[in-house]
Amino acid sequence: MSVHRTHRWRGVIAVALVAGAVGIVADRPEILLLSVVGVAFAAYPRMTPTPAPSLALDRRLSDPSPTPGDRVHVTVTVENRGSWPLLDARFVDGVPPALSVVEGTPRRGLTLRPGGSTTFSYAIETESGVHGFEAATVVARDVSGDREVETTVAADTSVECTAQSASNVHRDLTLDQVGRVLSSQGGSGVEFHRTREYQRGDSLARVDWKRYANTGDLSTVEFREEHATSVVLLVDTREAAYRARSDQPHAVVHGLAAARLLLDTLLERRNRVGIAAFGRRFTWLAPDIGREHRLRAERMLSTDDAFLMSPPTDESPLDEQIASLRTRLPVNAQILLLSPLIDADIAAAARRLEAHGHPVTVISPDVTTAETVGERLVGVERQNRLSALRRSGVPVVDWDPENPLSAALADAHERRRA
Amino acid sequence: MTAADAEANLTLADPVDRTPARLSAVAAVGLLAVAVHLVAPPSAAVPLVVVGIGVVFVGVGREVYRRERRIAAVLLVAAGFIGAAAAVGVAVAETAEPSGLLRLLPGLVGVFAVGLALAPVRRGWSRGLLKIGTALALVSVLVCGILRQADYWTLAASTAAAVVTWDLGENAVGIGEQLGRKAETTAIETTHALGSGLVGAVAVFAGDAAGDIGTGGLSLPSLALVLLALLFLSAALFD
Repeated sequence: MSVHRTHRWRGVIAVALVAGAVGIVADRPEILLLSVVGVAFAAYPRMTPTPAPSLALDRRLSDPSPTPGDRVHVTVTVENRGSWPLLDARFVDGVPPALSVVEGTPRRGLTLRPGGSTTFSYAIETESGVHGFEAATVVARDVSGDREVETTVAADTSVECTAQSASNVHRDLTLDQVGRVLSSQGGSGVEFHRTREYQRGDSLARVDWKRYANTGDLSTVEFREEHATSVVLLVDTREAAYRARSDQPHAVVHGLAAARLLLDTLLERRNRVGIAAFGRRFTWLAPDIGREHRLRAERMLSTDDAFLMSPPTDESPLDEQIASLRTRLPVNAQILLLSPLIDADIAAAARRLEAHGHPVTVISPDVTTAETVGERLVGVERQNRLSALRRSGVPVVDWDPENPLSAALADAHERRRA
Repeated sequence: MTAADAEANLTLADPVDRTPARLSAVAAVGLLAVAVHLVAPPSAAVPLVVVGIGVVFVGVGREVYRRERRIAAVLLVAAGFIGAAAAVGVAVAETAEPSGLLRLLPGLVGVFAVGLALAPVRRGWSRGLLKIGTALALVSVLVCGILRQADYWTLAASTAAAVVTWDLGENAVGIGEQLGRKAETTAIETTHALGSGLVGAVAVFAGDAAGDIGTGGLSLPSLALVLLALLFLSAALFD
């Protein structure tokens, strides 16, 4: 909770001063008395008590597990738990950043007596994935508007939107698509373990061709798990990555959405997946496998304060964060870098990590526009950066966030085959 | 709003129309028109109404601009300005003495300025235009007082109304910035207006009470000194 003074009544004492001066100079007692009117207004903000908001929030969703594209109605009830009335409270609900509001508005002005509550609702349009609501923000003012107390109210709510319907299959990532991006990087362990029956989606580099030539059976060679490929999803959350097209989510939101999709897909096929982030500070979750790890990873992506919705105000130097990453990376780890590539530093970081023996693939949401000359310049610089990275052997998937990620991965694979 | 998180979060998810809240805006313009009417000659009624219509045109033009009909919007806003000029013309024509004009014109322009601030003609100018508009209305009040054309109650009521106008207008702008047009804000606007209105009434009576000190035997210079002392004390305490 933080209190701050708006000082909006600051100028009114000038009314009193001018009236007093004019009254004296022009010898008009009636005007002189107007200065008292001014003084009364100047005293007003000092007389009102500062609010101490104590609120409870309840959110109900019309459908907690919708299909993508559905409209979900959110009904919000705010209750004043304090013993003083809240005369001027401005409420903004914490809509999940990747979803848009299509009906009504999550903002409202509230006047609540002690114990009183207000209920209102708005509708959001869902997209696939798990979206958690953030804490609502309340700014409470005293009657005069001079003091503002800002606080948050939380209620654990989330919308789980999994694309199970046939019409949305194209939005899912299959391991085929992810695997094609990764498999050419190689780098898996060399100790043979066993063969098993070939399953759809296994990398063709792992097929036991000798056996196929002899017997006609497709089988896959598996290596010991300790040497299996681990993948680290590296999300760029530095201040430079918080860029967006107007009225669209910023690149970090897209990066996190992509990270969740990739996490699911890779873990499903028993890869070891870890999470790292460059930003406020270096963040790390070691690659691992299993249900516990998946829950830990998902929770980290939703709630860790490396992944806040607002840009960091100060961050540790990128060199230090790269060094921290390198000391923790397992030997054969591949890196999937999720970054808008808006500045040169992150591209240099990708090249450095590649040079140090960790195959890097970049998935870059394109948040540039072509509206002003400056924006076009940024777009061109980004394209140059992409080309330079590709020339140096780092594959880059240029992803327009208006299309599903699977389409971008398919395009990238087509381009590499051509 | 200083909550950077909520701000970043919400502007991404739902683009917000941040124009000033309509109820308080209309109340502010209306109140200032009444304040000016109190201290202006009787010929003020028609020009004030014409200015009001001009403000409505500008407001509608602003709405239309937002819906991407740029040419229609520009025409409407131009019509609003022409209306204001026409109001000034009517005022000049209808007012008999030049002193009456001196009482009316600053207030008339002030009402239009406040209307422009709250339409809004340009969001960055809102608070500035509000201050200028209410200051002009107060100039009208002072001129009226200097010319001895009204008693204390009228002057005080007009002054209080001008200050409350500024308060309602600035509140409307603030609500627009924090919550946007679509949000339901009638409750907080009404509560705030009641508070300011009450203080205005108290202020007017307080001035009268201070005046009673004067008629009890203090000469004007002595009254002036007492009030000046009060004034400087307040400036020290309340700012």
